[in-house]
Amino acid sequence: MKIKTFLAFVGPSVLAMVGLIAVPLIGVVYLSFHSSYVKTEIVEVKSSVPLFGGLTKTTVEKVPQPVLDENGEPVKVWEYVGGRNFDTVADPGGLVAAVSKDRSTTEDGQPTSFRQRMDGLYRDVTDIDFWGALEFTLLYAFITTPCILVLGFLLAVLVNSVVQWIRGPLIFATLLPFIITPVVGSLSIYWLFLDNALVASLLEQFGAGKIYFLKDAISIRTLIVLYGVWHVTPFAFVILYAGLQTVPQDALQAAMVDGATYWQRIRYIIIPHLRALFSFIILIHLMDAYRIFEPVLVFGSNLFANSLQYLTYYILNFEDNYYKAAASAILTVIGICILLLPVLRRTYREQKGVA
Amino acid sequence: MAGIKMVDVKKQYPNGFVAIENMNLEIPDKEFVVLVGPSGCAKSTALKMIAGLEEISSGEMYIGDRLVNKVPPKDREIAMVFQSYALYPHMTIYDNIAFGLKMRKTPKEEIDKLVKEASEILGMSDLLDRKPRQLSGGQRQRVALGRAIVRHPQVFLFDEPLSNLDAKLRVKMRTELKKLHERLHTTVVYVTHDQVEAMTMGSTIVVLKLGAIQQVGSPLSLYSFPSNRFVAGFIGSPSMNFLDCTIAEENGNLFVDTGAFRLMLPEDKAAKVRDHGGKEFIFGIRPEDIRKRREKKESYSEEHINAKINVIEPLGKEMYVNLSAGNLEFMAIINARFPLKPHEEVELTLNMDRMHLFEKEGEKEAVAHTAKNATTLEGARLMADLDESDDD
Repeated sequence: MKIKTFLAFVGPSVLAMVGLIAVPLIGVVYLSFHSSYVKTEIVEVKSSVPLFGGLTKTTVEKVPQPVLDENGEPVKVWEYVGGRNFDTVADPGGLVAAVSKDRSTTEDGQPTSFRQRMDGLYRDVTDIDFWGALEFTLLYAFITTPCILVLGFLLAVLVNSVVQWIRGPLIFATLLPFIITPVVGSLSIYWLFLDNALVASLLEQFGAGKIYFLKDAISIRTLIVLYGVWHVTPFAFVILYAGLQTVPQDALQAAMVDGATYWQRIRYIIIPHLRALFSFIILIHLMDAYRIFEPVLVFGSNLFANSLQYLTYYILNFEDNYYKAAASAILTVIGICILLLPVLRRTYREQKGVA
Repeated sequence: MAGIKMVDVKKQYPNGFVAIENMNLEIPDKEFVVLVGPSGCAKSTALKMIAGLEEISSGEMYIGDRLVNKVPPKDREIAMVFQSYALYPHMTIYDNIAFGLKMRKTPKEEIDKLVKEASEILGMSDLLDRKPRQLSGGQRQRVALGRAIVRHPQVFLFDEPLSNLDAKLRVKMRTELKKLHERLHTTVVYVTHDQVEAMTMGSTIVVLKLGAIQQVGSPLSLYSFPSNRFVAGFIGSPSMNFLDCTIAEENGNLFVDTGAFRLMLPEDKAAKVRDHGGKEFIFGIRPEDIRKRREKKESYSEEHINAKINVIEPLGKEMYVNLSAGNLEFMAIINARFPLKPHEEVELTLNMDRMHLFEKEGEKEAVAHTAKNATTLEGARLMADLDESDDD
């Protein structure tokens, strides 16, 4: 192909990628190393308060005040701050302090058990915003991933074994949770579990007492994880179902003649055949799970279950600090990269093995 | 060791399509039987029914003395080699061969012994720790064979095992498979669409068309005594010449009248169609039974015709010659020593002892040596005996 044709062909997409991905990313990296503020100075303000009889009381106060330039505009300072933004987000000092804190005795001098010490450590570490968010983010990723793999695979095998004409509607029904946008999906679960909503009132009627699902860390976390599994299982299902269509029938029949039972065929023929797809699903889902955001927002639960993505959003919107938010975003990206490294390495090796 | 018996076996699919209608076949123990037919003749379906991979709609299937209609494949003591080899791609060659034994919970040391033994027979001991994708087609074929022989089954089933190999390798593997059969001495059912493969390998050939057995017999009996036009055309290469004709009578002699030429029927054949005068038939004669006319009289009943040479395909020892007489076209195999040229006229001798007449309706052979149509093994044997005494 001529160089010119090639450039004309890939040019637009390269341009779009540079403009929409590379530049913003570089921008975020740049932001994360900087800070800006309005330059202020301490000025002495003399104020005289008239007293009676022509007397005045003069007080001198020291107040901060923006420095103005010659046009009367406040002077903004733009400054390189190195890792300071990262430091404030991740708070390594706080982490070290939490880890090295002496918990050998309780406040009234009693020696503590191992369990108590661990609880204390967990509480202190997750009290730091970033580490708390990281904890739930990882928890979510590592619980949902195996769940969606197993459930998606079971569903795929199930749908693959029913009569042809039911498959279409069944596939559609199975895909529904994936089609519904995360916010709507989260909201519907949230509404189901509100204090006086369906689930709580049903359980109350059956004598389970009043349960406040949304006031408790464990139940909120469980709900978010359940939502995640419900939402993403169809993704795993549809990919594995497609994969099942490519399983060589001859190999399955050969295994039948060889004496393999149904489960042995799944174990020795089908699962190895789908291995690359399992890797793919893990890869995509880990990326997605690490950026979990909507359910945390909808459940309004960042006290009980925070996520890194939500933390970034929070810093940006409520602390109004672009620089810190940029640092938080960068940390999230780095985290995803670390998480994906083993999967990517495995996939790379497998591909190399095939070639 | 076990033979196979099919009694009125039928295969009907849920959509109503009948793939096999009442198949009756008896395969004796240790026999090498080839099921052959064009694609769509249900030969693979028949094989898979023996394997238990396809359900039998009605009828009875026996392996040995056991009724196996409801016996799952793994308990039928069979081994199967697939056209695609169906190796397990993620397992090493060793594991591929050992898989069936592992599934049957054979002790480890024994597996090791059996796999080594099988791989030695097939000459692939040094390939055991490779993966299938690292092997050539021929080597994969061997692995598939190894996987089958390692279990010492009662019956081997081969589903077009050589059709993915190149021509040269195919010829080589043909011999090897035959040797293997002699060595293992087990019943083999072999499916192929290639009549040459069927002829060279089978001790008995079963010709199938559209799910129905056309004829059962030894390779030579099928070749010499096809029971109908389909078998006659399917077996043998280049294939038999078929010319539409009528039977004419003149001075008490019967003639085959093709329009372009008339041929007198030998006495024994004439006797069988004497009351069919004026009826339409298909005259069949193999290219090798048409020769260039020689001075001396042949040992068989001969008839002579003149024809024009269209095309010559020299093969070295002989040549395939495409000829035409009137508006009829046919093929002859003629010894290469004759200096023939295209567009020449040539005088030919037809071996009338080896000609066939097929009924226009039903296409049954009308002048065969024996009235009995060989759709049973018994009949096949009878014809094979006849065949041996019939050399010229």
